[in-house]
Amino acid sequence: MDLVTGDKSTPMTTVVPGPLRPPGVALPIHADPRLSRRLIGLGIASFGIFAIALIGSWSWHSWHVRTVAALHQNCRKLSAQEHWDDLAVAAERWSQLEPNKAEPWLFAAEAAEGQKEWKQLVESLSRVPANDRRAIAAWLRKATVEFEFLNRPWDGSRSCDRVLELDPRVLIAHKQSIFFHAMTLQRAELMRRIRQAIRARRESPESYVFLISASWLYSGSLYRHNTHWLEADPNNETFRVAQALQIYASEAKQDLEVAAEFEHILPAEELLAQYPRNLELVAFFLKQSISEGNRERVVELLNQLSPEVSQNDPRCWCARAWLQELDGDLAAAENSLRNANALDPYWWQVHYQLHDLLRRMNRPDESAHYLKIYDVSHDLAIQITRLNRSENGFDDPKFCISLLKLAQLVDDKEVVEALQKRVASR
Amino acid sequence: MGWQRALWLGWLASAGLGCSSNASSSPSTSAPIDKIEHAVTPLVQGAKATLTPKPIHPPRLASFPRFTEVAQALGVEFTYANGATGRSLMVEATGGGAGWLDYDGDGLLDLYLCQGGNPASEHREQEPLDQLYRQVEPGRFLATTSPAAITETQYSQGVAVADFDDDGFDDIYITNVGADTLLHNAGDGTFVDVTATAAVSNPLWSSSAAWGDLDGDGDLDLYVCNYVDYDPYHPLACGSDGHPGTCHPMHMTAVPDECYFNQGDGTFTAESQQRGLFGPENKGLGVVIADFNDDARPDVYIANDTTANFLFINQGDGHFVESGYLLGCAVSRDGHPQASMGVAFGDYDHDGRFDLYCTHFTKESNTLYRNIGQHGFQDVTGIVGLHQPTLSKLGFGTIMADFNQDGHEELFVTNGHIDDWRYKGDDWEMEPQLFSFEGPRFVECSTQAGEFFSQKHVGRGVARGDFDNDGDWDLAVVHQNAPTAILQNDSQRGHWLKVLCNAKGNRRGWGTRIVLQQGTKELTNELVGGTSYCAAHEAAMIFGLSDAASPVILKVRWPDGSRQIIENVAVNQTLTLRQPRGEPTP
Repeated sequence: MDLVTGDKSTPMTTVVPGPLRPPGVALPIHADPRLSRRLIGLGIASFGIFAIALIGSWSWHSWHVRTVAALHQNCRKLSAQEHWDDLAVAAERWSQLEPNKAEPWLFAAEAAEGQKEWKQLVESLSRVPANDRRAIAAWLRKATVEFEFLNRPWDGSRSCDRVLELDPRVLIAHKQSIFFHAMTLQRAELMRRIRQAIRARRESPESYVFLISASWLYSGSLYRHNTHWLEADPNNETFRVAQALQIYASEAKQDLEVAAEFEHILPAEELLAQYPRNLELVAFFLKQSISEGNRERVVELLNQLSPEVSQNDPRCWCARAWLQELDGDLAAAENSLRNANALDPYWWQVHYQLHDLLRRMNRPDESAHYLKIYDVSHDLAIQITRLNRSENGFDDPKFCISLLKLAQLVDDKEVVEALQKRVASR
Repeated sequence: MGWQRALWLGWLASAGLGCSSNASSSPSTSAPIDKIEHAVTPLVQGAKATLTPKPIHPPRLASFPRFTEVAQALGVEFTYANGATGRSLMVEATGGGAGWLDYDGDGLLDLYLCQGGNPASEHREQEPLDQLYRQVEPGRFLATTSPAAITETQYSQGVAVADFDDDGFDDIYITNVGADTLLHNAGDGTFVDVTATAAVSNPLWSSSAAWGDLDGDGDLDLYVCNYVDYDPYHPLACGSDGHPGTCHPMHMTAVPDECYFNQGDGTFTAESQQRGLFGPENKGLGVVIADFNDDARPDVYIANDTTANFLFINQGDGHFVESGYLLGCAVSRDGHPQASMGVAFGDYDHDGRFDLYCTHFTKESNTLYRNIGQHGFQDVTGIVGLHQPTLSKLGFGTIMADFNQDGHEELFVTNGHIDDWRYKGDDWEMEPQLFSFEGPRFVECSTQAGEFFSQKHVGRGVARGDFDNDGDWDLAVVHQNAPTAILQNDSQRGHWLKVLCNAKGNRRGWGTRIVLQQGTKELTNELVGGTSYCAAHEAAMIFGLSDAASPVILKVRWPDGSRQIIENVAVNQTLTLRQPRGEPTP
């Protein structure tokens, strides 16, 4: 093979046959002496350049190492001394030198935290490389800061997602993510995330409370959390709706002692006019309109939602069932209720309605089956509504056992398995 | 369960059936004709369940029902004192009741009114007495408590009236916080306390009670609703922020109802457990004894506070099976157990089946359970327009009747809170309400019903009786700490027929069912035990016939199941039917 071109077939120079020589013996030079000198000079120059480069490189490396070591030492010292401004400068300098290393960003984050520079803090934490063992802690801290200090819950939620991408076994990330989706009434996403946590065996006890109540609970904390989040994002539809719905659901505006506090909450109809396609608002009015027997309004409300949205919401399926029943189409109503049940197998109202419908369809065995489920799910619902804000129910063995029984009745193997382990470990 | 077994087993074969008419405001010249039949025909013919009530469009009269408050003019000046002193004892919230009866048999209704007093009195005998008002002449009542030898000073809640020993005189059962009282009418204008000998003292906190022949032995048995375990002498402290408040029933232990079976010798035996008349979390406040499934046996419906209501279906062997959930009348459409207090009973949509209307707490709305036949009941509150108007009310006594006899059933409800929640936006005193079924929806007609409906009270028991014998329903409405009202029915009325019944062993005919047929129209009614709240009603059925004055056919099913058809009955009269004294046809 030609060593110059790498071509195997067409050598560029012809090798003249000559006397055999032992391997390793150079060919005699028969060139021009001037050429030889030039070549020697070139070799020396090359060597010089190489040597200089080598020395330079060694020197730079040596300087870099010394500088980094000095920066590291300095950062540690400044950190210990809580000299946050100096630490920030040092860490920034270090991060410029080593942008792909975790340490400078962690020191920068520490400085930012010390300075209460929250934006800088999350920026620094986000630069911690994913392959570093401290990345998860960094992203978790980022999430916490985003939720608590920066009041940027959406970013906080995304940070949790990032943590779970890195390691789906991080309990606190599941917990924060589930809590955020519960408090913002993103119910479908909430259920998906609870399942994700259960699959990873990292579900917190309150996950089950949210799982059971995903379609009906207006937590007593909705107002407080969404009010806080709205301070940073006052026009956010999700927060405004979740904040208002707790007030509508509790009828706190009618409570004269606290009504003034909620004057800023728009009347429900006005909020719906602003957000006519908001699922939570529409669902709230669907329930009210069904109670009032207002068929036209139920139809109108369902039409405000896109089919994709309404077909993925159990409350909309219940509304369809109600309309179908009014039309005397009990089979269609049953189908709609079963769709609702498939989307949320734990919703006690659907259990009762299926029981009630099947009873009237003269299917007593199936009706009795759903009545049996309702007995448990409704009992759990009562227990959940009686829980204090700080409770999750798991201190009460009856709660756990009821939960397990319900999961068994609705044949939710994933939840049964998780709960059995939980109960067994108690 | 027998729900589908609603077949006539045979019309009673007898001749010379006694009927008499009296007190007709428009006497008819046509005489009733009795007819003997042996048909095997459902009592409710052609009845097929539909999901929504059928529209009813009889000719509308010029106005909705109208009432005038006349208690003072009649001489009834009575105030139920709940004894509130700011401690918010739970028992203060629930009394009192009223009962119409004709205790002296003079054809004029008298009125028994419960009294409260200090619920924690150490000297009960010094507390105010219940009062009996005798109608001494038409339109004039006189307090005759003392002459009648009534010394009831317990903290009373409600009344149930029946002639339990069939001696021809109405007796009175009084529910109390603590031991109840049975007053036997001696027939000489006095009453004798026979509680101990009859063994019906029921030492719990009872509310409503009802009479009915539950075991089919021909005499009247007594069902007593018991509420929760609460001792006013050693009260549980409730409330918040240091302010006393009425205890929430959800935090209280339920005490089971009791049912006393008449032994026919002046004594009773308590057999609720043995008979299947019990259920979980039984916090009973309202009761109806009626045949809900058309099998000629009385069933029992119980309105429970904050827990599922019960429907005890009579198995025919003296035993009952609780079937509230299975028959769709235990909880609301959504599956919510509600805070049920009173119960109205009637056939609002004229489909021949008896419906139920339960009154509830504020923000719950009252609930109308429509009887759909074979499969029980269906909550139709929303689709008949009854949800929204009662959300802000806390209802107790309630009556379903066609007050102005225009062919439209109405619902009367008395309201009033159990606690002072004005800081929460709830009224303490509340206006009563009147709704008329205009098919397919009810409309509220309170504002047209008279001045009384604009006045706020803390309403509790409501009893219906035609005290002026003019063939329409008047009402006695008990208020807490305010005068009891008597509402005289001044409605512009349609044609009507009032029927009194005298059954074998049961002279007021409790349990008798009548289907009135006029052309193609059929109206169904039954003399039922209980209903409303803590109240006893006149033992009569009044049919509203709107503008149809033609004679009617009465299909009578007596309490023992025997049947009778009476044809060519003139309207606008009060008719007394007497059950033939032959052996009943099986």
